[in-house]
Amino acid sequence: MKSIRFILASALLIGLSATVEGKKPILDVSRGTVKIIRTAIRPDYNLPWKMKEPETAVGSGAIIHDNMILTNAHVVSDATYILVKKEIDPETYEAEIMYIAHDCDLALLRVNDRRFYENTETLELGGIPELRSKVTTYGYPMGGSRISITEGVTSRIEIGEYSHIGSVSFLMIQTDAAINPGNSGGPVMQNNRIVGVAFQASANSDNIGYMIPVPIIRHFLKDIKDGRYDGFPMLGVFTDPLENISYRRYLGMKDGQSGVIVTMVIPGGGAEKSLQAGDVIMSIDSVPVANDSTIRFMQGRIFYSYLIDLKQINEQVSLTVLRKGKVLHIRYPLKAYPYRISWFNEYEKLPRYCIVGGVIFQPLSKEFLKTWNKWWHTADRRLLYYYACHISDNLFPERKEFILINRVLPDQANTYLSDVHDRVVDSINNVKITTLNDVAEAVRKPVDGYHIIRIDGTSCPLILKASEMKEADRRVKEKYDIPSLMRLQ
Amino acid sequence: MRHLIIISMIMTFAMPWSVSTAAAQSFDDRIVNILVTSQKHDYGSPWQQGEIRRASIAGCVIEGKRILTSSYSLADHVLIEVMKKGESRKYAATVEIKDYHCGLALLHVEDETFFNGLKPVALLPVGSMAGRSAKVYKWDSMSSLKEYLAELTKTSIRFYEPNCGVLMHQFSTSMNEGGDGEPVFIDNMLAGMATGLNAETKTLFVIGSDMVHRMIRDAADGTYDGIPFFWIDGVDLQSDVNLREYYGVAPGEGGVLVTQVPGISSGSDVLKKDDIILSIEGHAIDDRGNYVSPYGKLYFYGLIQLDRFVGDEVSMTVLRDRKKINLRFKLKAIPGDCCTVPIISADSGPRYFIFGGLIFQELSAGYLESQGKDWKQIADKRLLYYFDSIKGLSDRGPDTRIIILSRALPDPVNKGYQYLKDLVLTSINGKPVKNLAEMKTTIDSSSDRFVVFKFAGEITVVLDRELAAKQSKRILMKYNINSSHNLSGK
Repeated sequence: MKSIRFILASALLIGLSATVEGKKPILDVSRGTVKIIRTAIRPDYNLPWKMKEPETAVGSGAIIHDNMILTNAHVVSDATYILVKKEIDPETYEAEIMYIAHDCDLALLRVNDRRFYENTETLELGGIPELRSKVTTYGYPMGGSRISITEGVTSRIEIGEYSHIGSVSFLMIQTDAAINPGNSGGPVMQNNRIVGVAFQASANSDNIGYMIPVPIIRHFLKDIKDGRYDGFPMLGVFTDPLENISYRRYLGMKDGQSGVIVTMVIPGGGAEKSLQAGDVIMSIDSVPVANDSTIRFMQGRIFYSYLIDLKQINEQVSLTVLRKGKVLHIRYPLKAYPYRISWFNEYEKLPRYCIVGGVIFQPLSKEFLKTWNKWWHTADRRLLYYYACHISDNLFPERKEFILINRVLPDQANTYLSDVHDRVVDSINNVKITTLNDVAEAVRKPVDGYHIIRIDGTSCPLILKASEMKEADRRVKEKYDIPSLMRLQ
Repeated sequence: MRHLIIISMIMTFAMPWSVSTAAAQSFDDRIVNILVTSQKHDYGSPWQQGEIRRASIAGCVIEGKRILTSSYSLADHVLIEVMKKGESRKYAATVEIKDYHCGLALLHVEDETFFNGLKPVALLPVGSMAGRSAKVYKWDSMSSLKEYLAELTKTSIRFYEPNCGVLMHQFSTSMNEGGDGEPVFIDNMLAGMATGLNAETKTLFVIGSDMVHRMIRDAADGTYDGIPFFWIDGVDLQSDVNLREYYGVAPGEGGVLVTQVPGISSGSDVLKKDDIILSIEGHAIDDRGNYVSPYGKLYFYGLIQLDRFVGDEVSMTVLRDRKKINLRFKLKAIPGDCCTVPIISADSGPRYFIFGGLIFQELSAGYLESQGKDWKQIADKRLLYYFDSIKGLSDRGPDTRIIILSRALPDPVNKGYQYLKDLVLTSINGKPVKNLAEMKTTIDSSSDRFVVFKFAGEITVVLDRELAAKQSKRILMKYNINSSHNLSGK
C-alpha cells in the first residue's frame, strides 16, 4: 500500500506544478495503459485429445494498484505466453495471470520484472458515469504500437450479454467511443479515473462499444481477496414478469403490490429449500421489484439480476415473497449456477473424454455443440433440444451430465458402429450413465462377454465384444496417435 | 401466369435435346394438359389463405375415362382444368382420388365429350425395365407435346409419409422442368408417372405403373382405401456380427430389427419391439432389409405396400427371444388424420383457436414448414424434438394433438404475453387437453374466474375468462379475422 500512496503523491505534485497552465491535475493515462500480446492454444472438442493451432492476439490493459494489470479475460484466456509493452519503453515484458474471471471477462496480470513499473502511472477506479457524460478510451486498437485515445459519450447503461462466456448478462455501459479489436482490456476514463474496461462492440451496428462498469470490476476484486476466484452467484430460480393484471389478480396481488413470479426452482441451486414455483418475489434486499422484472437504477430501471450480481457466492439474500396470499420474508445464501450441460464458453479447460474400442464418449456441452459451423442451426437436433430445455423440461433428472458418443474411430472391432455419431448414451452394460466416470466404470463389467451400449431415441443397442477391447484400444491409440484414451478430470 | 412463362423460357433452351415434336404428336391422344390453380394456407395468419398459384402439368388418360396425374401437383387446388391435343378449350375437372401417400391422383371430367378422340394408356406389365428405352412426354407452352428420351438408373422403394413405400424409378433425362405428372412410356405402354425432377442431376422420379395398377384395383369396388398402413421403426442388421450374435441370428440369415411399433400401426398387436423380421409372405429379407423382386432388390416395405390392400393379411416370420415364430396380421387403413403431429398438410387449413388474442394451433409438419425452407434449422428446438419423436407420441391416442401458442395478437387483455410464441400447451386450469376442440369446450364451459394456461418450460399464462371472452370480439375486428376458430381444418 505504501507504494501506491507514493505514486498518488507524485501525481499530485505534477498536478500542482501544472496549475500554471490549467486547473486540473494532470494524470498521464497513457503511462497506465499497456499493450498485451498473447499466444493461446485451444483444444479441439471434435478430437478431444488434440489441440488446435496456436493463435496470437493483441489487447490492452490498465495498471492498477499493487502493480496489477487489469484487462479482459478474453485478452489472455488459454494463454501459453503473454507479453506486455508500454508505449515509451522499447522492451517487452513477460506477464503471468494472477486471476482470471471468464464470466465477467476480467483478468489481473503481473509482471515479475520490476523495471516494467518504472515511469508508469497507477490508475484508480471511479464510479458509474452519468448518461451523456464524456468518456475517453485508451488502448491499442488493431494492434498499433502507439496508444490510441478516442472520446465518446456514455450512451446507455443496461444489463447485457457478456459474449466471452456467453448466455450470461451483467451490467454494461454503452459508449459511442470507437472500440475495436485490440481496445479490449483498455481503460475507459473519466476525470482521471477508470469508469470501465472496454470489452466488446456490437457486431451489427457501427459505433456501439461496451465497457465493463466499476461495480462489476469491484465484484471481481472483492471475490479474489481470499486468493481464489469463485464467480457470480445466482438467485437459484427462473422468474417471469407479471405485466398482465389478470395474472396478478389470480395470484391475489393487491394494487400496490408488484413483483416477478418464480416459474422454476433450479435443482441444486441456492433457492432449492427456500423458494417454490408460484412464489412472487416482491423485493430483493428491500429494493422493490416491478412487474416488468426491473428495479430502480440511477435515472432509469434495469433488470433485477443486478442486485444479485453485486453479491458474492455464499452471501445472504433477503427476499419479500408473496406465497398463497401471505407475505413472507425469506433469507438464504446464494450459490453458483449448478449446470448439468455447460451453457458457457469454456477456457483453460481440456475436454474430458473416454475412448473405449474406438468409441469416443464425451459430455454434452456448448463447446461440443460449437464444433458445428453455425451450431445453433446445424447441430444435431436432439442435442440442441437437450441443451436448450434440459432444465425447463426437467429432462433425465438423474443425469448429472449428458454423455454422448462423439464419433467412432473406425477399427476392425467396431466396424459396424463406425457411422454412429452424436448419440446420447442411456446405459452401458445395463448401468445408467449419469457421468463420464460411469462410462469408465460400466465398461469394466461386460454382460455375457459383450458391451451393450444403449442410446436415446432407439432401442437398437450398439454392441462391442468385450474380449476384443484390449487389442482394439491398443490399435486405436497407435493408429490415431492418441496420447491417452481417457481424460476424466 | 408468371410460373408458366418461366417454364416456356426454359423449354426453349432445352429444345436441342428434345426429340422432334412430330414423333410426340402420335401420343397426344393419351396425354393431356392440366391447369391447376391452387392456394396454400397461411400458418402465420391461420384464418386466411395465402398466395394464389397457377401451374400447367401433365396427365394421361386411363381406362374408365379418368385422368391420371401426380397428387402433389394438385396440392391445395382451387380449380382444375384439363385441355387436350394442344387445343385451347378448357374442361373443368374434379378430383376422384388424390392420395398423397402414394403420390397419385385420378381426375374425373364431367363433360364426357372431352374424351372424344382420346384413348386410355395401357399399363406396362410388372417386370424388369433395365435396358429398355423409355420416353417421357411433356406439354410445351400448352400446345405442343415434346418427347424426351429417358434412361432408367435405379428402381427402389421410396417413402411418402407416413412410411408409405412406393415403387419409384429414377430416370436420367434432358428435361429441365417438370416432374408434374408426365407419363413415361416403354414400348408404348405406361411405365410410370413423373412426380419430381432434380434439375441439377437431371433425375426424373417416376412412380412405377405397379402403383397405378394398385390404385385402379383398389378403387374398382367403388371405395378407395389407400395404401396399407405399416408404421414401424426398424434397423437393418447388416453383417454386424456382434449384434447378430447378441440377438441369436443365424449366419446367412438376414433381417430387420424392430425398434418401435406404435399402437396405431398394422401388426401392432402381434409385432413387438426387438423382433427381427426374417421373411414376409415367404420372401426372405436380407441383412439390408431387402427382398428379391422382379425389379431387383427392394426394401421390405414393398412386400406390404406395392400389391396389397387394406384388409389383406400379411404373414411374417420373426425371430423373437432366439425363436422363430410366424405372425399374421390384417392390414389397416391409414388413420384419417394420421399422427399426433399431422405430417400431410396439403388440402387442409390450419386448425386454430383464438382466445384473448392468443392464437393456438396444432403442431403439424405444415406449421413447421411454413417457417421457411430451412425450418429444420430455424424452428423452435422443442417443437422440432416433438416432430422428430412423432412415432413415440402417437400412443397418446388417435385424436391427441400437440397444441401450441403460435403467437399473440397484441391487445390490452394479453399485455405481458405479447412476445410469447411457439409454446407447447400442457394444461388448462390444471387439466391436460387433447386437442383444440377439447380446449375450446374446456374454456367455454368453465365457470372459473381465470383461465390458467400452462406451457412446457414452466411458463404460465393467466387470463380473466370473461374479460378475455368479451375482448375477443374486438380483437377479431381489429385484426380483421372472420372467425375465432377453425377446429375442422376445412
